[in-house]
Amino acid sequence: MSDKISLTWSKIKPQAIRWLPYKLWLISLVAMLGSLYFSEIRHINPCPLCWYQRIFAYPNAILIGLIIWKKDRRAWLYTAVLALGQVAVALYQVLLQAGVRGIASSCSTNIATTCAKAYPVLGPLTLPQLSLIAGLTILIGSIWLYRHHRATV
Amino acid sequence: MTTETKIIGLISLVSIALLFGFVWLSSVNAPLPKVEPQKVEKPELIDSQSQRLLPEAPVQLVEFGDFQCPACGATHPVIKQLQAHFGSRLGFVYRHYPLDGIHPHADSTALASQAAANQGKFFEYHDLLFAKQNNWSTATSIKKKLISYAKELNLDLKRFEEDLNSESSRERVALDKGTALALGLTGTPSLFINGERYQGELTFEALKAAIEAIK
Repeated sequence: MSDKISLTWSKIKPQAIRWLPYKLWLISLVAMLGSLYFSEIRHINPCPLCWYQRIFAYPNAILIGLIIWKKDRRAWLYTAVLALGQVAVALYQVLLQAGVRGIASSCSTNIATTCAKAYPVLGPLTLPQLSLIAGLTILIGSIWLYRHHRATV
Repeated sequence: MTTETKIIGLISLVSIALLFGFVWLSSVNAPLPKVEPQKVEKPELIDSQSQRLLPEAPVQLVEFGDFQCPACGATHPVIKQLQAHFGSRLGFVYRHYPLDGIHPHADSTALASQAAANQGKFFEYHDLLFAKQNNWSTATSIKKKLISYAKELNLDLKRFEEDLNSESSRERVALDKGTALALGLTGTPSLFINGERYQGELTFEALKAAIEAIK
């Protein structure tokens, strides 16, 4: 059984290496453009934690494109670091929102308290949850591509 | 040019086009300009221009609210219940405290309600805004929504649009905002019962008890 899996993986691996960077780039672009759609078009104001996630996530949308263009595979380390920052903040916000049940008893003039309110935007998924999924995918993909690069030099 | 370069170029161009598109759409569908609060030295809970129901009632409930605040949306049916229960014994005053820092449509909706007030339908518009809060809160074009609600209430649309951003509407919202700030209010809804700040639960039972306790 494990031989079959190994054989299948050895066939898929070259394709995965070939196209994974593009998939990570698309995820990163969708994350950036998607967050801008929600803030600029749907007028869902980003709270401070959302801004911190954007600080880590937006550069990857450009960086991954440059990596693909210049084939600088060492740079997957940098995208992994940025994705790690995004994941850390997203995870914190997901846990924060999980701890708050129902509608808050008041809306506060303190902008930071809005980070705790969960707004589903894609089915039941909230923006921090989507950010966490995107960040984790880019983090794991970047680490794998970096390690593959290290193994082949 | 290799296929790979073409793909990279295409993805980049589409992304940049989308970015510019979002920026353009954002400016086209921008909310109404924000209202700067007026500086208020001696805040009055109720003044001659306040939007009121049953001003002669022995108990007056004052709410400083934000139409985009979910908590105010949740409190709205509670207040309706109280009004049905107490009838002519309970007056109601709505003052604007739009939290524009966290709610991008707060000022726009406050201004729209004042525009409706100019045609004698403030509370009808107020009720409609809270009833449809989920519908307009993340709307692409808040102005279109606000005008559609005015149409629903058979308001003079030309006059409504003019009054949306008129000096008088802005002054009213500015005064209410300044009053809220002068009173030291830090959130919405902020309720007062006969001048006393109510800090209890925003439930029908708790508010009913607080109102009944007024001698």
